[in-house]
Amino acid sequence: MKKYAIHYLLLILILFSFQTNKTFAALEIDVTEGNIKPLPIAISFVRDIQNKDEDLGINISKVIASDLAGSGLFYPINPKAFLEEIVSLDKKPNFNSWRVINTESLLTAQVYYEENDRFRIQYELWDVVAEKALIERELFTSINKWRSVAHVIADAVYARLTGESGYFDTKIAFIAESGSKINRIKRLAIMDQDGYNPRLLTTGNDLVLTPRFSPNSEDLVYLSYRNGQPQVYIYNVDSNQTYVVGSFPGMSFAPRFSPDGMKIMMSLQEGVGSNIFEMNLSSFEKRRLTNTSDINTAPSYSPDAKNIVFESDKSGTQQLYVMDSQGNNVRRISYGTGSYSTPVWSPRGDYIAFTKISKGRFMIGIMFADGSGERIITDGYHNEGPTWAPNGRVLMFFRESPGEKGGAMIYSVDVTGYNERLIDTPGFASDPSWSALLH
Amino acid sequence: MILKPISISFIIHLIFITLLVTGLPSLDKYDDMSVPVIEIELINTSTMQEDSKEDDLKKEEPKKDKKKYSSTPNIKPSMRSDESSKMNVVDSQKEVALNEKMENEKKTEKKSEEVFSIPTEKPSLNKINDKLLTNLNYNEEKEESKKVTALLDKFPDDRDVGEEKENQLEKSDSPKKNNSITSDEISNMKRQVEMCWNPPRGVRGASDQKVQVLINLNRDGSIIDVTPITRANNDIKKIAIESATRAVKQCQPYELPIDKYELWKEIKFTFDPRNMLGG
Amino acid sequence: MVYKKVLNFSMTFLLIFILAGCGSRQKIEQVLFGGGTDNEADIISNAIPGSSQDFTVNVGDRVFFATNSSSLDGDAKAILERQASWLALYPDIEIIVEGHADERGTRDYNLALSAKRAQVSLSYLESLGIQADRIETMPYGKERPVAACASEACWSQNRRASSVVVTDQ
Repeated sequence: MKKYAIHYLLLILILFSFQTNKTFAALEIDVTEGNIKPLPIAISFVRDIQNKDEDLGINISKVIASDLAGSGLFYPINPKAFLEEIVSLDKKPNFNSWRVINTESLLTAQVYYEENDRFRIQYELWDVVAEKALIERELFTSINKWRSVAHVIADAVYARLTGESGYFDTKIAFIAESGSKINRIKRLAIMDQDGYNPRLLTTGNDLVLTPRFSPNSEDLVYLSYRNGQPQVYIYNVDSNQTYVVGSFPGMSFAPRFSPDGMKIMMSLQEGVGSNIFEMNLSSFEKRRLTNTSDINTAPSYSPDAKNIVFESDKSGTQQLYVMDSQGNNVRRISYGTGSYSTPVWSPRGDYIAFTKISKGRFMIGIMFADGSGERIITDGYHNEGPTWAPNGRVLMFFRESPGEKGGAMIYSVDVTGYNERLIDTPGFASDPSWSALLH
Repeated sequence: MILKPISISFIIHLIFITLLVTGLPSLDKYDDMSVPVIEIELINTSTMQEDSKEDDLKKEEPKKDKKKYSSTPNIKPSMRSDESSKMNVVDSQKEVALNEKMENEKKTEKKSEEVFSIPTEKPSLNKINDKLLTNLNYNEEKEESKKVTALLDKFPDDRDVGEEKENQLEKSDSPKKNNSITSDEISNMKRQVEMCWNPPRGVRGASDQKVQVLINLNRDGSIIDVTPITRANNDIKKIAIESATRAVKQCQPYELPIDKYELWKEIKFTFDPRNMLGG
Repeated sequence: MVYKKVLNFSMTFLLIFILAGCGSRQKIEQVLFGGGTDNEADIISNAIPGSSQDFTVNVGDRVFFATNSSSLDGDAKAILERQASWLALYPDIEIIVEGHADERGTRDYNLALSAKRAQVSLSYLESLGIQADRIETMPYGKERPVAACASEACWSQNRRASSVVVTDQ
């Protein structure tokens, strides 16, 4: 009996050891929490020994670092911590010396000067943990466009590491303000997304308001008091030419381009009310979209041009409504306490950004296109007029400080409400409008 | 009796074959299902343990020279204490032995700290977190903590001795208990990976980017390779896989009980950001 | 006939005001908007009848509104009635009614609201017999405040419709 018992035991043992080996081939672990932090990145350009003082590469790398840091998603590591100096792009970086300084990615680049004040820049993005190249590219342009080149590279890095398209190579149209609050001088202006290269487009003799970029970023549509009556005009940024969009008995205002750039939507004043119209820029035909004696204004197309969001006070207070592109099927989408205005549809199509006024405070918020999921992004004495970055991830708006000395400044903020930053403008600035990507 | 040896043997063999056949299909199912953290019950033989022990002994010599723990010194203290808490349950005799062991460890650690006058507070998991944010500072501190580790290289020896003791104890007592990966050990590893995981955010549907990777580990807890199980069918998935891969690579080596190497040499990780990034 | 009645009525009204040395409201306005000096009598005598100064000082060029509202209250109506009487006295004069809003609203809406305020004032003047072709409206939204402080004391002054006499230049 004993003998058989041992036999039996042995069998069981073999059986079990067999099972253990197989069944538990892979231990499984679910990771549901992480350590959310800006992605560390090292930016190392091959140094220009001949032009130490005016090192184009260093200047470009600084702009890239500032763009990436400004997004709140990246943490550019201080070059002083670098252990390896990149001297050539021909050989792979020593990944270990980059991992040691705790970076996850490394951007290397080299600038080559070419004839006619042009230059070539070769750049590579590395995942230093996986030790593989993520981007290998080259750009060629004139030297005076070096800031744009930096933004283009920053966009490429952003896109490759986040999976979302970038927004750095863009411009902002805005109203530059000067003079006393009682008699403010307002000028049409544009600048780079980071506040650099500001350029005034009008003299300030005529009051101008609410500029908005065309989809190709070549034109601005805006409101001007140029000929006495407030009317909608188009300004071509390259030619500096201005022309009026139709002539109407009352004020035309709150203009915005359609997603295809072929039409302009705006409000026309009709007696005590204002209604929304669409103007075809090739046929100059006018199409009515609302027909009430209320204030219907601030229209904005969905990116697929199938729907229009606008504000109306038909309920007694300003609220947001969505209608189809024929002006039918009007439905109210804002139901929170307070009033809602200046709706802008995100270029992604998911969210609508707005200004909300409640209990004497002005907030910037977002909600889904059906009115659900309302979220306040910033709240204060006076925040107004959101505009979307082309990737729908970042908003700009203006914040007005109270009192005689007060004025408007432009801020950018993440859709999550984090990473609010003041955009540096020469003076007070309001009514920002974000262009599409320029490259 | 007449139904003797052969019949018994026959029956047993029959059972064996049936179990083998019915047992196997369930394995495949097991792999497919993405079951949340799985409880691992174990069932093992002492033979296997002997094997691994033998391996250990063989490797002991070179181990002393290798500074293999150098990049994760900070994780050690908490790991150890967790392990001990789990082991306390095993039996009183072992508990005493372990406590002694723990105390010895603490002493060595303290000594080293005094000698090098390193910041008195023990680096913890949370510390790493903070440090990563202030990156530059971290680099410096890391250098310091490396020194500690260098000194603590005795550590593995202590540990091996401890294990030997354990093994001896186990042979005589209840061999079953120590052979499963405990939930503490799993959660330690999980926490370690969580520290290193910086999931992509701000992209469309960032919270839906659940990815799975399979890792193969060396005995010293370092990674042999990482194989994505999830397919990278778009850019955002690709980036999510990259971030998961970086996470498991950055956090290596993993400190797991070497006697259970067979159980953790292959681990399937599921990274699900839904909790963190919201639905 | 109606026209004459209104005129008579308004003239009486105006006379009473002048004799009474102006209503208290007007005093306040003069102080606030820089129209007044220490000696009111001087202005009254110095303002050339039919001039824009005469209109501003002796008639009252602006009416005020409640927040987000464009309806005329009793005071507003009274001032517009005086404006109508004055305009009736000088049939060649044209005016622009400028609509304004306070800073506590968004840009586009305030433009529309100020247009509405101007329009409502125009309609009331029209109802008092002033021909529509003598009046233009000009909406300014929140772009031209008269008071800059961050409180209701200033905002209430900015929510207004001001009638401006068009001078030929």
